[in-house]
Amino acid sequence: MINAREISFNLCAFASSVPTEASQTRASNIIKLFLITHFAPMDDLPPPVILEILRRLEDSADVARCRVVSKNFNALADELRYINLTCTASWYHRSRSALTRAETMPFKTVFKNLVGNSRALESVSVGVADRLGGLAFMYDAEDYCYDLYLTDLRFVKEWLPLVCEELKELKVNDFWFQARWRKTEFLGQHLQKLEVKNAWLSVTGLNPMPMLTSLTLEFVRLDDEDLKVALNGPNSLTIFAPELLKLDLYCIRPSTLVIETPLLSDFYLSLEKADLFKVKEFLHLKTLRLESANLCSLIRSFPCGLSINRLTVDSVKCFGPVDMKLLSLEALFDIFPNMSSLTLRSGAWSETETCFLSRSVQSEVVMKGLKEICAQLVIHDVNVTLSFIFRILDVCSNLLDVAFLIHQEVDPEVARKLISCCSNNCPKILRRLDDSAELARCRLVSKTFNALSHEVRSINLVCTMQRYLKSRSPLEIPRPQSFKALFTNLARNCHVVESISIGVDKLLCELSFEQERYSNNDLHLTDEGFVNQWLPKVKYAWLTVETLNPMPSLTTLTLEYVTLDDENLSMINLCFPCLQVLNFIGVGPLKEPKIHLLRLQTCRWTVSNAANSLTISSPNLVKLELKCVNPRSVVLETPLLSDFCLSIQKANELGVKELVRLKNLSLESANLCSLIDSFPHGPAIKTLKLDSFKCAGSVDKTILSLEVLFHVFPNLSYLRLQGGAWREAETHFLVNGFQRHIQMEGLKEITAQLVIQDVDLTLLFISSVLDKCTNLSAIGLLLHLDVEHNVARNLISGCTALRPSVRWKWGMWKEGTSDTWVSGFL
Amino acid sequence: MSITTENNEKMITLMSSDGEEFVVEEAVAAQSQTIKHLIEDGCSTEGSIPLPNVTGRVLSEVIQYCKKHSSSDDKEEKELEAWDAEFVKAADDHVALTDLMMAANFLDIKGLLDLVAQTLANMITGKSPEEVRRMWNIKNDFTPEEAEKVRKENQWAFE
Repeated sequence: MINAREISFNLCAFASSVPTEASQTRASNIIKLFLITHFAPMDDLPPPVILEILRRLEDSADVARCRVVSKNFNALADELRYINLTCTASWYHRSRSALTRAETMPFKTVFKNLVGNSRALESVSVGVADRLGGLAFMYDAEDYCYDLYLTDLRFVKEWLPLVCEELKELKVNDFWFQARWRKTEFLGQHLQKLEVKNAWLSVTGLNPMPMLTSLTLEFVRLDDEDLKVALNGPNSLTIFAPELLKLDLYCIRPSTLVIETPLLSDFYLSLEKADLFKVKEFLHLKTLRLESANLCSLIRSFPCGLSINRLTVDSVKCFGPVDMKLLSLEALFDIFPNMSSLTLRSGAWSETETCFLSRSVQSEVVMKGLKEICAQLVIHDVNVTLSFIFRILDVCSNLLDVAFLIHQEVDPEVARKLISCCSNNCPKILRRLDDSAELARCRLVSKTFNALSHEVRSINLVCTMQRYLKSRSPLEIPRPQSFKALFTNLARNCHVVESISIGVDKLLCELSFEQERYSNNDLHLTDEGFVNQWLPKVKYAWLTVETLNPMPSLTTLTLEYVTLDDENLSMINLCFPCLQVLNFIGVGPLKEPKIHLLRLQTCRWTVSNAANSLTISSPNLVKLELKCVNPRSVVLETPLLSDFCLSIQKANELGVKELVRLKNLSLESANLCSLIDSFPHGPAIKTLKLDSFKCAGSVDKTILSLEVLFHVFPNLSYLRLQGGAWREAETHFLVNGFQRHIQMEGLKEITAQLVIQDVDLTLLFISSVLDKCTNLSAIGLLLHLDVEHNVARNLISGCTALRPSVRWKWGMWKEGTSDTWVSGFL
Repeated sequence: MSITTENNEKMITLMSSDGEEFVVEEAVAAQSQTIKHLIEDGCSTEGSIPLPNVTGRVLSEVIQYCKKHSSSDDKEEKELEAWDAEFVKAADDHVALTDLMMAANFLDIKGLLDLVAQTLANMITGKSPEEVRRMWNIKNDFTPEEAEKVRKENQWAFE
């Protein structure tokens, strides 16, 4: 520490050594200035300025030490209007040790001296250090010397009357281990601010404190009964406690109740009725217990309960008429949307149940967050109770723990029924788990839960950011199970899975794709190898395209019975630009799907009827299998298509560009003729397979004629007619005969599923076809399984006699089974 | 003397006890209640406002504080707190702090007074009387009898 006076002395010596008089004066002026401004000792500061500093000393022990510094300080310290005395741990131990007890001034004595020496105290804070709170209390060793029972009435009366005229603020942090045994009635009169911690306050004989504007009670045990009495007066109750964490408040009918406790996290309020109930928003309130005679209005006047996690409600009966509204579960869910645990005590249960019964229409509320529900059941009619319980289970889709307490006096038979109905519903509860991670946790709960969990029909697994980071971190040993392995296991263990939702956390989408590609592919959930592991077994899935990353390397995609939220398939086109093989079976819902994949070569697409129009625009598509019901339009822009299998009930608009390369075509429709009519000319088509099926509703259809067929497909070499098509062609022939003179010279082979009404007519038709197709060399005919033996024999002998150059092959067919050939070509 | 800048902000000139002149925006200077009252009383119209109790060195620091606190109404409180901490740290030696304290007291700048007084109070906290005396160059003016008495009265704070 540099001594300022010493330096100033040296500077004076320097000044006197300056030669000229003028410069000497100037130099000494500078030095003078320097002394005043830079070396003003603390003593030179004006007293109010020193007081400003002393006032900011937090601890009275520091003030006491300052008193010893100088007279000035000692005098100024008398001006201080506060006491802040804390019994430190070392003080406490010194006062208890046999060696040091004699020299140690008791805490209370010091405090009383301080009070005695002060004038006009405005603020008193007295307490024990927080560390002492953890000490065990030796009851037998107690005496005055280290008695820290600060709310002791005798002690309080020794000092409080001396200061209470001016005292505005009082803080007492009592020594809980001594204070909790004894009640206190102490409290001052003119206080504006009162803070009491760790004490047991009794309110009998409570003095009115009209000036009190701020009350902070922390860990204060209040004498319930008495407080109830105290608060039952007509007066209003205001609680302003910025640090209050836990508040248990019982009151009956205060005219106004105002609570401003921003940090409150645990609140128990029992209130018969409040005329004016004003509560500032609680941002940190987690646990709330409410008990009221008019629960509904209390809850309605409660501020936004977003933070509330655990809620307990009960309704109590009160004397005298109350025009009360019944509490509905919906209202409860509406006001406390984020609770995870709800306890309905008997009063509240019967109120909500009655409310449930009296309403015909229930509003649609969903309580996804609720995990735990506990209720004291009041059973009037077990069926009603059950329907209410199921209603709750419906609304709360994520319940994990359900506890119902049945009243002891309830008939055991009724109880048993209730229990069995509820436990049958257990898988229903499990089924509602939103996240499979919860399911896995449930498995650990009990054997029953584990067994039941196999019955769960949905899997919903999300790769969270955390899991992703863990799996990538080199530090994590052992490495966590890969997401895919986890999922595959899960899928294997569930026997009857109906739906699967698998995806990655939205946060993960923000990672760039570059990173993704090198990350051992564990998150490419739809890559072929992975999908094949579980898709053969499980065919139902729900894909979300929102989180889909582009996968330019993916060449094969199979989605079977997958719910896809990509109505027009635009995301699919975008994300899988290099697909070569695409299998979409029962993928929906689709609106105006358009497959626009430039590299697509093979496509199998079964579309439900929901789709309006289908478009496939793939210049490289070679093979297409398209099954649809009744789309408004089908548009194909596939110039290279060579294999095409189309099943369609009825196409209102078939926009197929010329298919010059088409070789193999298979058509299946309820209205074959019009389909063929609207089909573009297929000069290259060699193989044709036709089937016609009946469809519900009347269709004004034209019957297929072979001549039209031969006209449209002049270069056929192989024709196969399935039963429906055969019947149509035969009927048309029998009615109209062959009229045009088209020769089908190219046709080499025909296979047909025969429908025989009259064997002679069938023979006639066959011989006419033989006449038309001069170069036919092989005919395979399948007789229906139901055809009688002798009819079959007649047909076979009749046919073989028709033309010796043709080789015949015989077999049997039946709807829904595959054909059976009895012979090779003979 | 008052001039107006491009921003239409009125400027005023403050003159320290050692003749240094500081041109500051009125809003900055008006954080001092003393200067504010002087302006209101029309002292600023005829040239600079003389501040006979504040040296140029201290005044420049005070202006630094005022500038920061007038421009940062909407800034984060935490940032401001950090700045304040740096500010008093820069004026670390207690002598400079007492100068600032005097200036803040004279100029009546509440924020600065609070800041410096609290800093000084914190420096006293936990120190023995001897250390406090040495730190502020305070003379022990108790007679030996008085010293013993006051020591005894406050003995509890030394254990």
